[in-house]
Amino acid sequence: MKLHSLTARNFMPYKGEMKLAFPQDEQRNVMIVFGDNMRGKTSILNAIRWVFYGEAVGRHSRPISLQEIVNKEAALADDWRVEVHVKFDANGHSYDLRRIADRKRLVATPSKPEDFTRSIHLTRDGSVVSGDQVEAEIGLIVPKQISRFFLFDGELLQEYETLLIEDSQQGQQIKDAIEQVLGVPALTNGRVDIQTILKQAQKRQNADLKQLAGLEKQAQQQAELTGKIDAIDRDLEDLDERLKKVREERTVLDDELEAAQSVIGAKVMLDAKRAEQRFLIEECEKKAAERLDLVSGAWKDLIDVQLQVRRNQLERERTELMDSIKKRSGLAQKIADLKQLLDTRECPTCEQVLGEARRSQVGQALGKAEAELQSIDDSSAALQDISGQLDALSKIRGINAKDRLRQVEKGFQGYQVRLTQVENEIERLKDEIAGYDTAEIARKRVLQSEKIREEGRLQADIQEQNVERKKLVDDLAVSQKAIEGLTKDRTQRSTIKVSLCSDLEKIFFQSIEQLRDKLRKRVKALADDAFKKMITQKSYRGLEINDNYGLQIIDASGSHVAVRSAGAEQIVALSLIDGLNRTGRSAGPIIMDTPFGRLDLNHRDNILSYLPSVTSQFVLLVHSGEIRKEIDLAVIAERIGAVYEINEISSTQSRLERTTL
Amino acid sequence: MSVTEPTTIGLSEEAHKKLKWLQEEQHFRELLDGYRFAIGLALAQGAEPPESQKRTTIFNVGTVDPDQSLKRSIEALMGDRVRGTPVYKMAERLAEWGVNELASQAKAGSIDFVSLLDQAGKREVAGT
Repeated sequence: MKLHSLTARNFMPYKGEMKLAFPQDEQRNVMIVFGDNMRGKTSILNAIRWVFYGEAVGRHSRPISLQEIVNKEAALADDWRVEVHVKFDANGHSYDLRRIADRKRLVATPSKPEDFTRSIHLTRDGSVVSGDQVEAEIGLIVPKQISRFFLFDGELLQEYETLLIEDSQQGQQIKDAIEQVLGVPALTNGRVDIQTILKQAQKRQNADLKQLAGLEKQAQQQAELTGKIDAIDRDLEDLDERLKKVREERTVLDDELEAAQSVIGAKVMLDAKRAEQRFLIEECEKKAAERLDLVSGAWKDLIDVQLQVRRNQLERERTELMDSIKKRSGLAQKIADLKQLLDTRECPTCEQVLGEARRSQVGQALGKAEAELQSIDDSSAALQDISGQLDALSKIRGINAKDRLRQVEKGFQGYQVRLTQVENEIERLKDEIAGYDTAEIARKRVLQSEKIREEGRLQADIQEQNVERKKLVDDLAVSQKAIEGLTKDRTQRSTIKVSLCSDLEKIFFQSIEQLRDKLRKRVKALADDAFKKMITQKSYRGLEINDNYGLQIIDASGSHVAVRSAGAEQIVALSLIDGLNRTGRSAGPIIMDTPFGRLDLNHRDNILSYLPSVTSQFVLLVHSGEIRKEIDLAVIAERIGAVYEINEISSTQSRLERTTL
Repeated sequence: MSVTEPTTIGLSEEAHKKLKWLQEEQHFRELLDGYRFAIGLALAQGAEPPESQKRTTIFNVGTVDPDQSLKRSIEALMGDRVRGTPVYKMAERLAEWGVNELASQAKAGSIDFVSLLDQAGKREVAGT
């Protein structure tokens, strides 16, 4: 299959006409569409999906309503006609497919898909394909089931990565979806049809048996078994319906919670900041109390140095007084000695008698000493007073409040600054979550967990019912075998029909299983081939596939690689998708939306080199963060046949323009 | 000649209000703490406050100065200026001056206790 052109009108952000011409040269089969987020890359993917299958999908593959598909600005201008037209070649024929939706005549503002008229037109080699054959023809060229492998986005890659997690619930769902594709709808639908016919035949056979005497017991037993199978089928139908409903509800919750993820994050952050705020307030209070304690005794520090000066003065005065007292004491002793000398007239040391001249000299010395003693005051009272003052002042000492207060102030200021920052953060976070009901978000999280559990329970119930059903079908087969022998002549027609349908059902079952096994092997071989081409770690031996389509990387020693990087997981998922795509159909185009999220440059280059070689056309819808057009495309520069850029006109309108690198 | 010291001590009505405000603003835990700090500040700054106006009794002297360290400090630092006069009268005048100073600093922004202690140290060192 090869796409020629895509023309859309009023489709999502593209008001009026949007046109893409796909590259036709096999050697230059790469087309790149650049567009930033929210500009309309995924809408191109959806335009292709819509023209082929009449549906556009949003996140988690949820359908987008028709009224949402119409460009908002066109709708405001009362133009509700939306149209997509694709020209392509497939299986040696030229096709021209056009899908149109327009507002019904009596509807003012469409609010649901039923408010639109819808039409589809297909021509093959210029001849119109009749309306009732259009869907079937498309089903032959590009079955809807495999569309997810050639029209895919980053979300699908992530979905497929869950297959790599053994026994994951989502992995089981994807496995079912893959098997539905690989089982080939013709076989699976045929099996369902045969089962329906078989049931009808069994009922007819029962009715026939009841007419025959002696076979009532067998008829009753068979009726019971078919009744039980019918009951299980009804239960299964009910369980499937409930599972579908629960999944839908859970998906809605997933989306809502994902949208609220930033709010949840902000709430967690807010709680943490509030705790920090409480801590800081407590610390500030402690520091303030410490400061008050210090200030309480700090008055002594204010005068500490002055008091020290005073103490020093008093110390000096005391020393002087003590010197004076010592001197006075010395003089008094001297006077006493001189007086004794004059009284005894004899030297106390040598006992010689003093002459008059000598006595006169002693008398002069005595007079001088007495005069000197009279000039020195008695300072003992003053000394006592000063000593008392010194004693009292020595008890008045500062508490080193200054340094301690400085430390406390420093700590206090630090906490205050942090507190202000935290309070600003709290305000910002409060603004961020303003308008969101965080309690409601918490409620939805609980509901989501409950829905996931309920899904698990329903799946287990379905599995149990299927086991029970299989047992009943086996019992019925045994019973039928017995009846076949008994009623060979009498109830030949209904018995033969039951027997035939039963055999056919087995053949279909085995065919599906055989085909799945065969296709699984082919998927593995193709995925393995793709993996080796794309992975940068060349020592890996390849991939191994399990029953659930989980792929394991095998290293050089033949062991499973237990820990894979995010990039390696993406390469494995991409290899699987490529394997499935090439298994399900002949080589066709691949249109990838934002596929390079977590890949390093080497892996990205490998993908860019590999995929164009296994596809008829390789269309990349990328943003500037994934690929810088000036420098990142060297590896496929020669294969690029067309480049487009999506430009923003307004928040609800974009324009696609052809450009060059 | 012995000097009769008062048994109670206080502030003018206006200064008393300021002291209470300082306490309310969490600059001091107790009125007593603010009162003592005010006296210390006035002494450190070398203030020679005038006679107090009509005063309001706030504390017993024994409460403010249980070990007479305030009295001794005032006597030691003011010397002749308090000789022969009641020291606690001078304490009142010093407290009045200090409370007014602290209140005006608090009103202007905040009381920077560390700077006050720092200045007191420098001033006295410079004065030695």
